[in-house]
Amino acid sequence: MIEFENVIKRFDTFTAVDSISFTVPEGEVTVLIGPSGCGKTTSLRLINRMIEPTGGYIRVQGRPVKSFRPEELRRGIGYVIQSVGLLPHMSVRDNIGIVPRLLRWEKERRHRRADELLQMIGLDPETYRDKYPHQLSGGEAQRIGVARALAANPPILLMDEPFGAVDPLNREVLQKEFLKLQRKLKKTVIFVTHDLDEAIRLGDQIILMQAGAIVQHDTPERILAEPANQFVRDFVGTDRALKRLSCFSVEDYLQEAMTVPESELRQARRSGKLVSGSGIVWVTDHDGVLQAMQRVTGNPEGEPLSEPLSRIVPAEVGINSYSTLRDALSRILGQGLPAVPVIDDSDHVLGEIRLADIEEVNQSELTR
Amino acid sequence: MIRFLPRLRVEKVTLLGSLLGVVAFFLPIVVLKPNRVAEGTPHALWELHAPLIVAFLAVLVGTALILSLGPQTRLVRMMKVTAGILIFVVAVGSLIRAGSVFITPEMPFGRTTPGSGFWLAVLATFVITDGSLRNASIPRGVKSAIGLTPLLFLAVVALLGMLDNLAILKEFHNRESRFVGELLNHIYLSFSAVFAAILIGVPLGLLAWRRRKLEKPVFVTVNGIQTIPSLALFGLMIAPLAFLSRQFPVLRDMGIQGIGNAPALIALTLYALLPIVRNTYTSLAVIPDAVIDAGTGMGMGKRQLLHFVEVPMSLPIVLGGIRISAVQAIGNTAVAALIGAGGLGAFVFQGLGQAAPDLIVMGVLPIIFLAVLVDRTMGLIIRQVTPKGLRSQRI
Repeated sequence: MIEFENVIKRFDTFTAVDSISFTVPEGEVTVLIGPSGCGKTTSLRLINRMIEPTGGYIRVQGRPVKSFRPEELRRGIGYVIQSVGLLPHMSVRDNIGIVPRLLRWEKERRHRRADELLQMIGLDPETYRDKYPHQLSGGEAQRIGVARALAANPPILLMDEPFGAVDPLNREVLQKEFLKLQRKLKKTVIFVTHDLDEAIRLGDQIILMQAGAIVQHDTPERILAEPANQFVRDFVGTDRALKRLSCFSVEDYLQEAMTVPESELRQARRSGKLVSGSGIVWVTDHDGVLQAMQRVTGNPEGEPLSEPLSRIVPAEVGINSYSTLRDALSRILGQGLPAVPVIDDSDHVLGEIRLADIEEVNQSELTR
Repeated sequence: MIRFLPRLRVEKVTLLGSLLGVVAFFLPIVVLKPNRVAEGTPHALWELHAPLIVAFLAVLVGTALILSLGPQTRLVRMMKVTAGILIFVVAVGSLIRAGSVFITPEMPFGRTTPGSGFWLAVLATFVITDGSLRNASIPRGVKSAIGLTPLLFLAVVALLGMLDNLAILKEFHNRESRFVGELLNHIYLSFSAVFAAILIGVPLGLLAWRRRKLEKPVFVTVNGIQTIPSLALFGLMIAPLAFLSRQFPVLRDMGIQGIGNAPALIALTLYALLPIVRNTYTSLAVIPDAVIDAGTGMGMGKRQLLHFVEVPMSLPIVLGGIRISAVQAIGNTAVAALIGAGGLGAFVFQGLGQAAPDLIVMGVLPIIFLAVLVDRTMGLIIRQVTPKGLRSQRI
C-alpha cells in the first residue's frame, strides 16, 4: 500500500505537485494520467525518492519513505521507464540481475532467476540471455525492462510510460502480456501514462491529474460514465461510450456457446440439436479445438441448412478471455457475425460474446 | 557455347603492384655518396654487375603480373604473397651488392642510400602482399606474422652488418652509444608527460562534466594550449622556470631550470591534456540519461553507478584519448630537444644543423616506430577493455 498525504513538490517557482493525497491499494494497478506537465511523473518519482517532496508525507507499507535509505528503498521497488535504460554493456542476463547483484545474491541464484523471468515474459532464455541490448527490438527491450524490475520480486512496481515508445501494434501486445502477468503476480503497480485507452485497459483505478492536482480518482468505468467536470469530459473525449466498453472484461459477459465436434455435426443436425442462441454453432475437432462455424437459421426442425460449413482460423475470429468488450465489438463488426467465440491459448471454445449483449451493456450502464 | 579464351578476371591491386615493380627496374636502385654531406650519384640496377639479381627480380615481378590475370585461388594468393616478399628480399640484396661494388678502399667515407627504384620495389611488395591478404580468410595473427617477415629479414641483415655501407647505418654506428641513451630518454620524457597528463586530465574532464560552470573555462584553457605552436610553448617555458630556479635554490637542486627536462615535461604534459580531458568529458556525456536514471532507480549509490555503469562504459573512450595523447607526445618530444631536453629529436636537429639528411632520418625512423608501436598496443588494450555489448556500436 502506498499513501500520499498533502504531498507538495515545488521546483523554484513552479509547483509540480500541489498538495495531493491518495491511497494506492495493495495488489492493484493504479494509473496516473493527465496532460504533460500535470505532475504525474513527478508523483511517481517521489515514491522511490528519485525526487524529494517539498512538503507532505509519503508512506510505503505504512512506513514513511524518508525513514529508508534511498538505495535501500529503491531496491525494494521495481522501476520501469519509457526509455528502458538497459545497460548497453551488459548482457540481458546481467541486466536482469542488477538488483539481485546489489542485494548480494549468489551468481547461480541470479542466473536462475534471470532464466525464470525470461521464461515468464515469453522470451526463450537460451536465445536471449546472452544477447546485448543493441541486439533487441524495442518490444523485447521493454519486456526485459519489466523482467528486470521484477527480478528481486518487489511488492511494488513503478512504471513510467513503459510502453510509450513502442509502436501501437506492439503496445497492445505488451499491455495484454502485462495484464496476464499482473493477474498472476498481484503487484501493487503505479502506472504513469498519457494514453487514456491504456489507462482504461490496465487500470483498476485511475487518478486523473491536472496542473499538479487530482481532478478525479475513480474506477475507469466511473471516470467514463460520470466525468467529474468539464476538464475530465474533454479529456476522455466524445467517444467515451466506445472507450467505456474497454472497462468490461469478456469474462463477465461470457455466454454459453453451442459447440459440436465435426464428426457429430450431421447427426446433431438430423436430431434437431443444432440450435444456438446467437445463430452460430462452433464446430470443433474431436479434441475440442475450434475448426469451423456453422450458421443456423432459426429452425429447430432440422431442415437442410442453407449455409455451408465455413472453415475459420481461430485466432482471426476468436478472442481470448483477457480481452474487453471493446475488442469483442471490434471483432464482431470486423467479421460481420452476430457473435464471436472466446477461446483459450489452445483454441478451445470457452464461450461466446454476442452483439446483443454488448448493446445491452452499453444502453443500461450509460443511462444509469 | 565454346569459349576459345578463358575470360580474364584481372586482380587490379596485384596488377598495380607488379607494374610498380616493372617501373622500379628503370629507376635508380641506389644513390652513391662520397661523404655524408655531398650530393650523390644515382645508379641503376644493371650497374651493379649482378645478372642474377636482375634475372631474379624480373622473374618475381613477371610471376606476380601473370598471377594477377588468373582466378584468385588460395594457392595463387599464397604464391603472390611469396613473390611480393621475395621482391623485397631481392631489393635489399641489391643494396648489399651495391655496398660491396661501389664502396672501395679509395672511398673511405663513401656510403649508399636507397634510390627511388628501391622505394618503389618496397611499395610493390606492400601493394602485392597486402592486396592478396586483405580479403583472404586467414587469421589476424597469421596476417600480422606475414606482414612482419620483411621487417624481420631487414633487421637480421642489418644486425649481421651486411648493410653497414648504408648512410643511415653509418650515422647510427657513429652514435651507437648515444643512441640507446637518447631513445630511453625519449621514451621517459613522453611517457612521464602522458602519465602526468592522465593524472591531471582525467579529474579535469570529470570536473568539467560534473560542474557545468567549469566546463567552459576548462575547455577554453585546454584548447588554448593546443593552439600554441609547440616551438613557442617550449620557448615560453624558459623564462619563468629560469626565474623560479634562480629565486628558489631548492628547485634548482631538484634539477628544475629554464632549459632541460623540466620545461620539456611541463610543455609536453600541457599538450597531452586536450585529448584526455576531451575524451574523459565525452565518455561521460555519451552515457544516456536513461541509463543513469534506471541505475539510480534500481538502487545504485554513487559508488555503484561508477563501478557498474560509468567506468565500464567510459573506459574505452578515455583510453582512446590517452592513445592519441601518447602518439602525439612521442612526436612532440622530438621538439623538446631544442631546449636541451634530449631525446631522439637531438639527432634530428643535429642532422639539420650539419645538413646531413641521413642523420635526420636516423632520428625520425625510431620516433615513427615508437609511435606506431604505442598506437597498436593501445589499440589492443582498448579492444580488450571494451565490453562486448559496446563493441559493435563504437570504435
